[in-house]
Amino acid sequence: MGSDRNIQIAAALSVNRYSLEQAVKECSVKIKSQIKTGVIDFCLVFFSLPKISLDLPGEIKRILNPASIAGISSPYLIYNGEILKYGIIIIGFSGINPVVYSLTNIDQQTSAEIEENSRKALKGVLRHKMFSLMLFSNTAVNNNALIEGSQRMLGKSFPILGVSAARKNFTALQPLLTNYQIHNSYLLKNSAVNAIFRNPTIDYHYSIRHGFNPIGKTAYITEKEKNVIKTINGIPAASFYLRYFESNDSPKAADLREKLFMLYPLGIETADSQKILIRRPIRITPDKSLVLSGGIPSDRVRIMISTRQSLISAAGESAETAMQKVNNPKIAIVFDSVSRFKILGAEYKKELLELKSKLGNIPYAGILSHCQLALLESAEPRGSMYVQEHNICTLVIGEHKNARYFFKK
Amino acid sequence: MPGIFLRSDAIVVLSLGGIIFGLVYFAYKKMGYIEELKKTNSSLNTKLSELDAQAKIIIKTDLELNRTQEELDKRITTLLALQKFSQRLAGVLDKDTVFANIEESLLEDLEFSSCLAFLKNNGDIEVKSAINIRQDFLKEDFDFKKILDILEEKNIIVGSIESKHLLEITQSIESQLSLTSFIIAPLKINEEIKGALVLGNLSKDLNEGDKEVAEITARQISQTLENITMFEKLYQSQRELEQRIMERTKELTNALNKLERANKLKNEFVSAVSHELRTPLTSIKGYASLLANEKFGSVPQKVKTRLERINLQADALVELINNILDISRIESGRTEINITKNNLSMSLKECLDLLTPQAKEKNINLNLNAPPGLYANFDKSLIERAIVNLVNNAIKFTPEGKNVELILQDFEDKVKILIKDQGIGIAEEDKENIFKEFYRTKQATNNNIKGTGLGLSLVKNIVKAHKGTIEVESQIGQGSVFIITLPKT
Repeated sequence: MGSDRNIQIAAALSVNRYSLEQAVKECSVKIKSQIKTGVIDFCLVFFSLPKISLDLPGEIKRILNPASIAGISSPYLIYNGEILKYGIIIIGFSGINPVVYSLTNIDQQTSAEIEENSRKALKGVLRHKMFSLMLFSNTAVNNNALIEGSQRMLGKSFPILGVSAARKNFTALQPLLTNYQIHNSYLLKNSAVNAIFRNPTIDYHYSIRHGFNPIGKTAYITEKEKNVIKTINGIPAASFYLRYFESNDSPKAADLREKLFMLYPLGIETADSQKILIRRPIRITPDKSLVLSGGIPSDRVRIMISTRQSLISAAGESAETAMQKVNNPKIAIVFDSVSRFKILGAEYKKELLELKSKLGNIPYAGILSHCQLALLESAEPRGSMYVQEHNICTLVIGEHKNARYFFKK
Repeated sequence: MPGIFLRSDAIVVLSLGGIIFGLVYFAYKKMGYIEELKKTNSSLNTKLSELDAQAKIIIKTDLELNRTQEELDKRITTLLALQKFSQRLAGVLDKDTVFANIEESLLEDLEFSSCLAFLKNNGDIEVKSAINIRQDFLKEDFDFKKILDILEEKNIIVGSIESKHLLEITQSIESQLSLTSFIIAPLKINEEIKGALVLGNLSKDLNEGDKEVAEITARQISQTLENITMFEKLYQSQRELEQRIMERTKELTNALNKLERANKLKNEFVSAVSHELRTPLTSIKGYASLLANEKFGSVPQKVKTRLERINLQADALVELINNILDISRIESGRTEINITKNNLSMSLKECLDLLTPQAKEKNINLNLNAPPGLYANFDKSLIERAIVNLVNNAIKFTPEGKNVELILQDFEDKVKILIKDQGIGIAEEDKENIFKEFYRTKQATNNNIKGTGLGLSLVKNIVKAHKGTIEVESQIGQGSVFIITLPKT
C-alpha cells in the first residue's frame, strides 16, 4: 500500500498531432527528466486527437511502463495557461499507486449493477482509501445510477471527484460525440474509469465553485420526476423559465434557448438550503417540462446569473481554497466547464491567469468538462455527492506533512 | 327566589351577552389582524413581483451585454484568425499550399463548419479544398459553373436552404454539401472570377459579420493567387531571360575562344616570323658592319656611308622585331614576370639618368619629382623598360628648350607614375588608339617623328601584366600626361 519512495509528480504535454509514438515519447522525455527515480507508478492521461487511435494506451504502457493508467478524452485540454484543441497531456506519478478499475456500458447499468461491478473490480482492496478520481463518459451524465452505485460501494460521504468530458459541439440539439476513456492498456467508450488513491503519504484537497448568483424570487417545484421538472409554481416548468426571457417557440428561438440555458441556468437549493446547485436544462419536452443533467435535491429553484468577473473570481477561489489545504503541493488538476469557457469568451485567458496566480509555480493540467461529480464545495469527509455543472474544480495533490514517518514504516 | 332567579337569569343573559360580545369583539379584532396580514402578504407579493420584474430587466440587459460581448469576442477572434491566415499566406508561392492553409481550426475561429474551394482550370473545375464536406458526395452534376455564373452577377451569395431566389443551387448545396446556410465569395485573379469559396454551416444562421469575414477571406486568397500568378509570370520571364543570357554567353564565349585562338595563332606566327627575320638580319647587319669597317678591303666613302645607313636601319629593324616579340610574349603569357619588392623611386631615377644625354642633346629639362625610398612590388626590368619608353617618347615629341617631368605619387594601396611633357599633344580621336599595335598619330607622322607604333602597346601590356592601368590626358599643342597606376602589392 505505502511506498518507500517519496512522491514525485510531473506533467508533460505534446501537441504532435501526426505521430502518436512521437507524442508519447516527447511526454516521456519530459516526465523522466523530472522524476528522478525513473519509476512511474501511475499515469493520468488527458487527450484530444484529430483521429483516435487504439494504440494510445499501449504506446504509453510501452514507453513509460507505469503500473496503471487512467485517462479521458476531451475536445479541449488545459495545460499551464493554455487551452488546446489537440494534444496529449500525461501526468506521471511516482510513489503514488492508486487502484484503477473500469465500468463499461454505464449508460445502461442500474445503480445495483454499478455497485456490484465495482465490488467485483475492487475485490476487497478498499480497507484504506482516501479519495477517488472518476473519469466517465458523457453518455452517463443523465444517469444517476453511476453516482448512486459508486456511493453505495465507496460510502455516501467518500470524496469522489468525477468528471465527464465536454461535448465538442456544445448544444443539446447535436448528438453527443464519442468520448473515450483509458484503463491501463484499453481504450474504452461509454465507460467510467475510477482511480482510488490510498497512499497515506498523499495530501490532497479539491474545491469546486461556480460563481453564479440567484436572481428573482424563489420558486417552488410543484411536480418532478427524477431529473425532470414538470411544473414550477403550478405552471409548466418551461413556461415558468422562459417568461423571464420573453422567448417564443420559433425555430430561431431554439438556438436562443440553448444560449439562455447556458447563460441563465437554474439553481436548485440543496436539501439543507445551504448551497445552490447549478442545473442547466438540457431540453424542453413537448409537455413543457425541463429535463436536467443532474438530480433535483430540493423543491426550491432560482434563476441564476453570472458576470465574467464573478466566474473568474470563482476560479481563483477554487484554486486558492484547494492550495491552502494541501501540504507541499505538487500538481493541480483542473476540471473546468465548457459552458464557462463559452460564457467567458475572449476573457477565458483571464480565468487561466487567475488560476496561475493562485497556484503559484506548481504545474496545472486538465480538461474542459461537461459536468463534475463532487461533494458540495470541498473534499471534506461529510455531505453528499452531487452532479455539478458550470463549475470549476481544482484538485491539488501534494505530500502529507508526516509523509516521512510513513516512509519510515 | 324568583328575584334571585331573575337575577341569575339576567346574570346568565348578561354573561352570555358578554361572551358573545367578547367573541364578536375578538372576531372583529382577528379579522382586522387577518386583513393586516393579507395586506402585508399582498405588499410582499407585490414586492416579489417587482423583484421578478426587475430580474427580467436585469436579465434582458445582461443578455444584451452578453450579445455585445459575444460579438466583440467574435470580431477579435475573427481578426486574429484572419491575421494569422494572412501571415501564413504571405510567403506562399504555389496555389495548392494556399488552400492547404485553410484548416478546420481556421474555420472554427471564423465560426464556419464547412468549406469548399474550387478553381477553373482550362475549362475544368478543380476542387482545391473540402473541409467537412465529403468529396465523394460531390456528384458530377454539382453545378460549379452555375455558382460562378451567379457570382458574375451578384459578386457574393448569401443564402440558406430557404432562399427561394437561389433555388438553382440551394438544392445541390443542401444535398451534396449538407449545408443549411452558406456564403459564396468569388476567387478572382486580376479582376476575373477564377473560382469560388463556399463557407457554410450546418445550423447557424449567417449574418452581415459572417458575410464580411467570407469576403475578406476570399479576398486574401485571391490576392495570394494573384501574387502567385504574377510571380509565376515573372519567374517564367526570368527563366527565359536567363536562358537567353546563357545562350548569348555561350555564343560570346565561343567567339572569345575563337578570338583567343586566332590571337594565339597570330602571336605564334609573329613570333616565328620575327625569329626567322632576326637570323638573316643579324647576318646582314654583321656583313654590313664588316664591309663598313673595311675588313674585306677598302671601300669608297659613298659606299661606307650607305653601309652605315644599312647598319642603322638594321638596328631599327632589330628593335622593331624585339618589340614585336616582347608584346607577343607578354600577351601569350610566355614572359615570366618576376614581381618583387623594389625601390620605385630609385628605378625612376635610373631611367632618367639613362635618358639624360638624349634630353641634353635637345636642350630639354628632365626633372624627377618622387618621394625618396618608395617601395612597391613590380618587375624591375619591365617597368623600367615601360618608363624609358614613355620618357623617350616624351623627349621625342617635346620641342627643344621645354620640360619633361617624371612624377611619382604615393597612395595607400597604389602608386601613380606621371610622365608629363610639353610636346605636340595627342588629338582626341587618337587617344583611344595610341595603345594599339602599329598605330601612329597624325601629329607624329606629320612631324616626321620616327617610331614603330609598338612602344605604347608594349607599355600597356607591361602595365596590364602588373594588374595596373595606363591612361592619357592631353591637349593639342599643350603637351600630354601619361599616368600609370600600379597596385603596391
